[in-house]
Amino acid sequence: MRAIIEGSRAIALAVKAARPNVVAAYPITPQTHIVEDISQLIADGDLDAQYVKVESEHSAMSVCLGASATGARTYTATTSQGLALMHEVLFNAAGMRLPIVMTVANRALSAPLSIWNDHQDSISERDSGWIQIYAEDNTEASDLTIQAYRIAEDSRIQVPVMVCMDGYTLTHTYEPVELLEQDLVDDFLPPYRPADFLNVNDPKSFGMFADPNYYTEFRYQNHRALEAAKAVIPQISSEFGEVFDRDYGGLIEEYRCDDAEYVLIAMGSVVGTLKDTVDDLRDDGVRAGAIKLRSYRPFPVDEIRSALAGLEAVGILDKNISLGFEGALFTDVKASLYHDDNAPKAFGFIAGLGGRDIPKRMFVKMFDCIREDKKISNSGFFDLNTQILDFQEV
Amino acid sequence: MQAQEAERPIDLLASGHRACAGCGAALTIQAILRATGANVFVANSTGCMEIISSQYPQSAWKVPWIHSLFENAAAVASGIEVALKALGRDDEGKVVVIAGDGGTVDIGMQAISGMLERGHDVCYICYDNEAYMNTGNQRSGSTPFDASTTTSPFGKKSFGNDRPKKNMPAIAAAHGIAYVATTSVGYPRDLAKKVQKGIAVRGPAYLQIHAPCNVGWGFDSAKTIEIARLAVETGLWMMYEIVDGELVNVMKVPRQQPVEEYLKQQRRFAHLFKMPGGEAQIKLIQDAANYNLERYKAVSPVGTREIQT
Amino acid sequence: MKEVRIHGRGGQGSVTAAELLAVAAFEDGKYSQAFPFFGVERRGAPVTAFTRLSDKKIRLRSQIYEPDYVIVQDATLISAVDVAAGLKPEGMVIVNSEKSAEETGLDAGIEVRTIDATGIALEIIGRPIVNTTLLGAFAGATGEISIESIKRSVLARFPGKVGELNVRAAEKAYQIMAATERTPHAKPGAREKRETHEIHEKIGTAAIGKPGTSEVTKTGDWRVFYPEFDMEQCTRCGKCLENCPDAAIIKRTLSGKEADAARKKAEELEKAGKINKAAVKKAPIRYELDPTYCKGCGICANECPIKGIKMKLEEK
Ligand SMILES: Cc1ncc(C[n+]2csc(CCOP(=O)(O)OP(=O)(O)O)c2C)c(N)n1
Ligand code: SF4
Ligand code: SF4
Ligand SMILES: [Mg+2]
Repeated sequence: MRAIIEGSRAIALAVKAARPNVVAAYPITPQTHIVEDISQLIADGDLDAQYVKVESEHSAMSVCLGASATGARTYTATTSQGLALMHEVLFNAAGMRLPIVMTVANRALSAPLSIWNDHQDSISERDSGWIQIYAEDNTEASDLTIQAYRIAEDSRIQVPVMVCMDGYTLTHTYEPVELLEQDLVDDFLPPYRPADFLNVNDPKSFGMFADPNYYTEFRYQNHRALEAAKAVIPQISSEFGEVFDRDYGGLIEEYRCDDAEYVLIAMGSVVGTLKDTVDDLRDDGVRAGAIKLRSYRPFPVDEIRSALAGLEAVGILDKNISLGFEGALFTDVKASLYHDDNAPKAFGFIAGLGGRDIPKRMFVKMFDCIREDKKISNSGFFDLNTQILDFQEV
Repeated sequence: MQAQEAERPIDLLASGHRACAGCGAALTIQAILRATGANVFVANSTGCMEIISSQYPQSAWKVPWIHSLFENAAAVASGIEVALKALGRDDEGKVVVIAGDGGTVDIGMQAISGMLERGHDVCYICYDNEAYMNTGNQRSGSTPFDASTTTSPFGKKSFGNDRPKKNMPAIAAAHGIAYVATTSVGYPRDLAKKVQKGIAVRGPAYLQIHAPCNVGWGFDSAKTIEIARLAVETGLWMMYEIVDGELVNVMKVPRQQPVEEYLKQQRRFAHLFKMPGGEAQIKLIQDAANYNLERYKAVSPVGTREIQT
Repeated sequence: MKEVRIHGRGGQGSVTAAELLAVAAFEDGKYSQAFPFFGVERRGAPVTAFTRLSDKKIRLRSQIYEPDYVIVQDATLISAVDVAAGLKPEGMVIVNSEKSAEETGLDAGIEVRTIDATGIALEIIGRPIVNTTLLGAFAGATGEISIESIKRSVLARFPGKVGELNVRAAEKAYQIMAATERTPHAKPGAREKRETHEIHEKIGTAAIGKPGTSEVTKTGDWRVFYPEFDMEQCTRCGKCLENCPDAAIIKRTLSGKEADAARKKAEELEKAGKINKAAVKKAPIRYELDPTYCKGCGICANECPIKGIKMKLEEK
């Protein structure tokens, strides 16, 4: 069934369908509508969950951690400053291998303060041990919420998952969304039954410390779980496809890449605009293509390599920057190509920070750069307004 | 030979833990768990008690136990409590926090306030060894006036910690919770009774247990209990309950000891007996002790009771 | 370069000893380096510290795997830790023990020298703090460092009376060691490698532990003193058990013949006016030490209302 609803509402309904036992969240723009809608669902008796109105995001994640260790299915949502405040607990939850699911309504980080979208917040939690999957539209974000529980709770994985969706651009956008039928979700996502959980009959100790004889091995296992997710994510996606008739493929989605000469890689909602641009260019006879990076961690090295094999050039859009270096995706894509003799030329573009819109003509310009092998100036900052800078091109 | 009945204490904190010999905090935990029995979930904050009991793969805990971080034990406990409710397991056991004074009165304050205000059915217990012991005896908000610690050392221009202990029980009580109590490892029966009351109330309870640390405070390991009792007998550690907002059952001190008796046995106060001006500082501490006894008696609406063990 | 590894227990000042040794070597005009095995160990638990001495700048930052010298501050460590692990063939182990080298239980191929540092420290300093005494012994036994520099570094760290007592203890140990000749190796390097820290058990997904598994750690090794119970006087109040942080006191109720015997003995004591009637009834109850875990804190002795528990020096 399809309905036109706000993105946040779609997430709230997906959370309801996943039947979490415990929700703990703290409001922050632009995540607020999600948790408000969930609160209403609980108030109306449509969702039977404990909602803990915590006093901070640090506690939101801590409540989820305690609840998850006790055997509950848990949910939270946050963004930006809230995600940064959770930082310490994120690593802890992943290391304790607790399958918490969180929506990140992606937003820029302060200072200067910005409530608008980019990917700096979740990218900055890259090494936390969480799986990060980025949605292109609200149906995908909703569907991913259900899949995320399957992935996180899979005995081969047991790590938490962030479903990343662009703040405002998705969370506050009304568009038709494929609703999830509860009976189908119940079939697809059985109740959470962990092997180990806090209980008085088998009183185990959770969260012990590891000396140098053990620490590495626990880190290794955690890493292996994320590596294993490379196979599990597509598998669960296709299972989901069988039940719901919507399969998003695997870790990446290739769009008109088959005979492409030039490809741009991007994440999140902007991929839709990119696909339209590719269509336009194709109409003009340019053999353009797009790659949607769905899974940022684990990073799909092999998929990227084979998708880019034989290409002339590739561009990478980063809605984030590792200050003092370059965009995070740009680094990862180049590293993935390191062993390939005929690796395409790579161009890094930083754009869309702090909510700056990326229109089609921007992508056209990027394709132009790639095709004409132009030097990328200004450290890759592609949508810089040089008029408001005391500017010298670098 | 006849079969013999060996009755170990109900040692829910198993032997083999790595606390220093004579550790007052470890003894506090033994005492807490004897009072609660096995049906508790313990959320522990980072600190001495966590470190001495949980070096993988050896755990000293015989009750379900979780440690996450330094400042979030109250939030983790909140999570356990709501999970038990949501899963229909709330009759399985009571959720108890065991946290140090640093994890409580300093870095954990926000999470504790949230937990108390939200009314979780959790008994929060702070073992108060009056400094950050795990990291080497640095000052906390619960370090007493004039105690020399590694970050509040005495020196030519310092008598040690220049602030009195934060009144955390009053802060807890200000949340309008049903039960707040202070007790001491030197009074095991009082401790047991208060722990039992704390876990019996529905909703949040807050306990603060004075737990001398011979290593940080600098006294002979055999004297842990003696020092704990002296703190009470001098009026430097008050034992009372705040039930539904009313201060009750203040433990009476029949023969108040001079504070010197307490101070002189501890290295953290030794400078007061050597430095010029130290005498005046001891006088200030004596005044504080006197004030404590006055104040708690004066405001007690129900009366007092004799010291008992 | 010479490498020294010090094995001790938390609270025995092993790290301080390593540092003082490095300072002393520096005083002697050498390059030196001292560092602990960074850990979370509390008083009594095995700890390791390292010192390197060299004529050149020391760049090496790893732990010491093949020491020239090993100092063992507490002989009970020998059964718990492979103190001689990796010792160079011509190396030497200095053990704090009243026993002879042969009695330490270390392999025959190793040059072992013992010194009763605890005895010396108790006699001179008045407390069983042996680190400075052992540094004196090290200077005397190895000649790697002058006793004068050791003394200077001790005094710099502990000014005043405390430092002087420590210096005297170090001096005494130095004299004893310097007076005895180094025995040449019987069979240099004959020692077989002993692996005590190998880990075979599989780990779980997360660091989750099973209840009470700390009991494999025999904290009884940590103690210097142990409590001796006088069951004749004991009123069975149970305060010792109640106040033991390590659950190292066991309450045992005798039955059958043993109980009868205990009662009979108590009756005799009652007749002699030594105990009262109530105590006779409780005679079959015993409070016993579990030496496996007792850390020797002395709380039980301090809290025993009739002073029926005495702390005795553990023989090591
Ligand atoms: C966020 C954070 N800051 C600092 C620390 C370092 N730290 C660990 S335990 C501790 C002190 C604990 O003090 P307290 O709560 O009083 O417990 P105690 O060790 O005295 O038993 C500190 C500062 C930490 N683990 N986490
Ligand atoms: S430092 Fe103090 S509180 Fe910590 S284990 Fe030792 S005695 Fe206990
Ligand atoms: S000396 Fe300390 S550890 Fe040993 S039995 Fe007595 S109280 Fe327990
Ligand atoms: Mg403390």
